[in-house]
Amino acid sequence: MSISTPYLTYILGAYGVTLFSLCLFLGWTIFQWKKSIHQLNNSSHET
Amino acid sequence: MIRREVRHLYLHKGTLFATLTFFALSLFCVSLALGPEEKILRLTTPALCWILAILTTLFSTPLLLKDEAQQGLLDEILLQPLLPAFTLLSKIGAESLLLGFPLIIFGGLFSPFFALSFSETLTLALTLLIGFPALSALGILGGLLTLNTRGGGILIALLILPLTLPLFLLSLICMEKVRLDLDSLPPFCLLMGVALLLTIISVSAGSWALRFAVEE
Amino acid sequence: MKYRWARPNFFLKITTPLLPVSFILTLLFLTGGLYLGLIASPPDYLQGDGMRIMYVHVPASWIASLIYAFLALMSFFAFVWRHLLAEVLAISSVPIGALFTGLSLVTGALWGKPMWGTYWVWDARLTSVLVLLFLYGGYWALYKSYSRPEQGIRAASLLALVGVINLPIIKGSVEWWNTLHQPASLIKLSSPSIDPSMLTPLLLMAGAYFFYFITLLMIRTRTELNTRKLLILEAKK
Repeated sequence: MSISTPYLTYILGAYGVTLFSLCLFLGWTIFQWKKSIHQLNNSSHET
Repeated sequence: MIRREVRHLYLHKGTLFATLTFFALSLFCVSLALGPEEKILRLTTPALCWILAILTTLFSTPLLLKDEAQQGLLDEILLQPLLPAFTLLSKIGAESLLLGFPLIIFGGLFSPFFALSFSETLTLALTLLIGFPALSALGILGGLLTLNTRGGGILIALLILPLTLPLFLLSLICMEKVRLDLDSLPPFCLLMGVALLLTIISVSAGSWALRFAVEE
Repeated sequence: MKYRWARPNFFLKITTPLLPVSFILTLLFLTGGLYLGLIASPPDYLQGDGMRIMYVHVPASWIASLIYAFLALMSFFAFVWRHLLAEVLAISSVPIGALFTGLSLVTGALWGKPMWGTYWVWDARLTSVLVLLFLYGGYWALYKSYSRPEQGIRAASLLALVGVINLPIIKGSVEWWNTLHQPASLIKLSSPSIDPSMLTPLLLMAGAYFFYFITLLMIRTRTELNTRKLLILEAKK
């Protein structure tokens, strides 16, 4: 693909949106995972 | 049995009347907003009628169900020897009689205001007549699914509106074929099939949902 | 109670080594697909370089419907046998499915603008993808509106099973309203309507999305199991 293609913004936009949201979603999921592990550990220490 | 359900429903005639008025009023309001252009009215009214019919059933049916649940009538359905699906079916029948027929007659009476021809009016009335029991069944399903939730009306619309899509798309295809003087039988038959299928599915799912809702 | 937890534990044991494997597979497929799709594959003779958007768009729609089928299957298990693992798998797959449906819509719009001149057409296929998004939203909203997850999942699985009838209608509606959207050319894979040089990046991206789904599903399932355990622990107190 050459850089001067007329649809560059759209192509990069589509790829960018896809990759960005995949990464964001992965990050959010991992954050939730760690949080749930943390909460579970806290809770079982208390009992 | 249908007679009993009709009698039940008749107790709520205030709600039914309000629903019908809502239907008529919003039909007029939107038509006024669109302007007196006959062409536009002729194109949009069938779609409008359908959307409003869907909205009225989706909002009134769950209201009635919630009322019955508070009176403990839903528990009674499960105690009867009959399958709960039959009771739900008779509820649908009653609602079609008391809400569906007036709605269709309303639509028919006012069709000259919207520049619809006779055959278009007839098709619209027929599609609504076939679609209404399915709509009512879907409304009952939505009402039963959300009976014990914190949400309410908006949630039901979110759940059920996508499922009503095939019904009114097929009816609009029918209307378009009639408007263009083409053969409208195939989409009409398909509409009947889809309506029947949706009714069966939502009644059987509804009897499960009823069981869950009462068990809690 | 012990029986109920036995199978989730088995699931955890199996997926512990699988998690990094599927993550690495995701990365491999993604790099391959991106390289071939963005750089190496030739431009289409009709659509030029705009065709490249297809490599991120079409697999997203595939995976979105695949996840809905998975959701319906899991809902069926959850509904009939009230299996805990099926319930957890079902609810974990919903946000991923919604993500792919949203991506399919957004990239589809970005593809439509340069190719057909509009971001959006009210064509049946686009509309049914939008409906799929609403179905995912409805499932999630219904699940969340119950105060206890085991109540919510039962109502939601019922909804998902009713919603499955939407999937054949997606396919059927294409024939009814054919507008400027492309006909589904991948269904007849055997015919030479699509070039192998295009099929390879397409399948690579589909693989990347698929393994992304698997990876995320495993992580989300773990999270969900932890939350359920937490609820039980708190109920005991």
